[in-house]
Amino acid sequence: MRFFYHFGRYLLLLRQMFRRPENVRMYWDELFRQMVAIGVSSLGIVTIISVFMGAVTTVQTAYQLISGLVAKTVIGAIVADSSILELAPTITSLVLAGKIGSSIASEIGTMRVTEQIDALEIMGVNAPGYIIAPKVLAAITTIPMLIILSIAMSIGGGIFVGEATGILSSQQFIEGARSSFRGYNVFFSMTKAFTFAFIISSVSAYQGFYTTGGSLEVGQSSTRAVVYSCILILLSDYLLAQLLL
Amino acid sequence: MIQLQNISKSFGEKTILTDISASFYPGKVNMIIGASGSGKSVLMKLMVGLFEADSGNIFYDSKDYVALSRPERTEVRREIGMLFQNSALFDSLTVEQNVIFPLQMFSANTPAQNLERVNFCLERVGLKGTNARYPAEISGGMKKRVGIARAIVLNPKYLFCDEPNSGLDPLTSILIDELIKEITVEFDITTIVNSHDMNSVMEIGDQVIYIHKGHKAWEGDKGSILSTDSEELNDFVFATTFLKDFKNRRNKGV
Repeated sequence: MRFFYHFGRYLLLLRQMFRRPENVRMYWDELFRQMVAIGVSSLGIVTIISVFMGAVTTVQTAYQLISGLVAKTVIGAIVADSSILELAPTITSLVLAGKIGSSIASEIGTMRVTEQIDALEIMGVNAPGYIIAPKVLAAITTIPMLIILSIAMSIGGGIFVGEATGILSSQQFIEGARSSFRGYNVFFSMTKAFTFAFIISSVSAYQGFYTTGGSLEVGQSSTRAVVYSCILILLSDYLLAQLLL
Repeated sequence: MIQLQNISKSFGEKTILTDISASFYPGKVNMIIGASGSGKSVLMKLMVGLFEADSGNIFYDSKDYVALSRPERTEVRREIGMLFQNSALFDSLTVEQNVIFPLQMFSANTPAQNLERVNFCLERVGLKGTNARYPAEISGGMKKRVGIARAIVLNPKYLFCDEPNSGLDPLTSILIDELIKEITVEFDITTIVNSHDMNSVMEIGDQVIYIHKGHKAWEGDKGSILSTDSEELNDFVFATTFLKDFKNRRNKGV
């Protein structure tokens, strides 16, 4: 029963989010602030994890394909496809759930317990619209871009390590990646990116918006935001794979 | 003018307010007093629309707030200013950005007009020149004053102050009280102050309502508080040993 209570309240919050803004320019400014906070500030962490993701996948794939009967280009194909289909969208989103999700939940939760949300509502501002909608829109525009970057960095990491360790040359890697490339995989990856971005931002915002109590509860909301976002990302990852592949 | 008619509110099984009726007048500081947990904060939140009453009506002049549609309520809310117990300033914004926020959101003014209005309000609350400072960089008393500046920036008809003196030293409390009183008279605002500070009540209160365990136990002007027969109000007002002695000596004519 508690699941239906929270799910219903979550849907109602989403509906409130998309009411007509009181002042479009203020919302627009807030959207850009959030795009910087969510997207630009995550560039570093996404780059680092993606490079290592590609590098480790290359080494481990080479280790498993030790047989001389398999062409080395296969390594490039496997690393590129793995990066596009699963590693970049899912691993990056799980990391972003920790970074962005906790930040959104704690920011909104703090606003709730310090009555800043009440202050907005008394002014006549639609608080879910002004606080949450720009975060959700910023997430679904910047996270897919981060995932495209992640794919590129992962492949780049694979090429670099392949070349540096002598596992395979960059030409062999690229040849393998190109041979197995399918445009549909990128579409699938972007579908995941949009879905995960929406889950991270909206679930975390929900957890923050309905925080009651004080700083201890803000921390608990932040933890719940990360845990629920991760579980929902993995669940929707499976469902999308089942539906679209 | 704000009128409450038979307001009741419960949370689950727990009854918080029962059948509260009262009137709050423009140009006056209307005090709601009562012990912690008596229901006065819930009453204020009902009046500003943060909670819904289970029964009863709230009239803002002639408009029944309870019966209004969402857009109509939003219109009424734009005539309300509120000073929160903890000031509720936006942490990520400077003093100027906090005060200008309602103007940017709702007024059709030019940026220069907005800035002029902000500077006027900051000067009015004695905070000229603090525009660029963040809430974390100013004292509790200054935060309250920024809260007041933000509350009055849109020229509200109604000003709500929830425990304006909480966490302040006695001197700063007096300054904040005086400011609330001056603004109320100067701009002819219907001001409602939630407090359990009897100094505030005696300094700035015009009309006083005493809430005891969710009921309106007493109503009158501040002059009649000290001579009331209401046992509950006497217990509240003369709660300290010092005041009890004072009252006993006064009754004995000492």
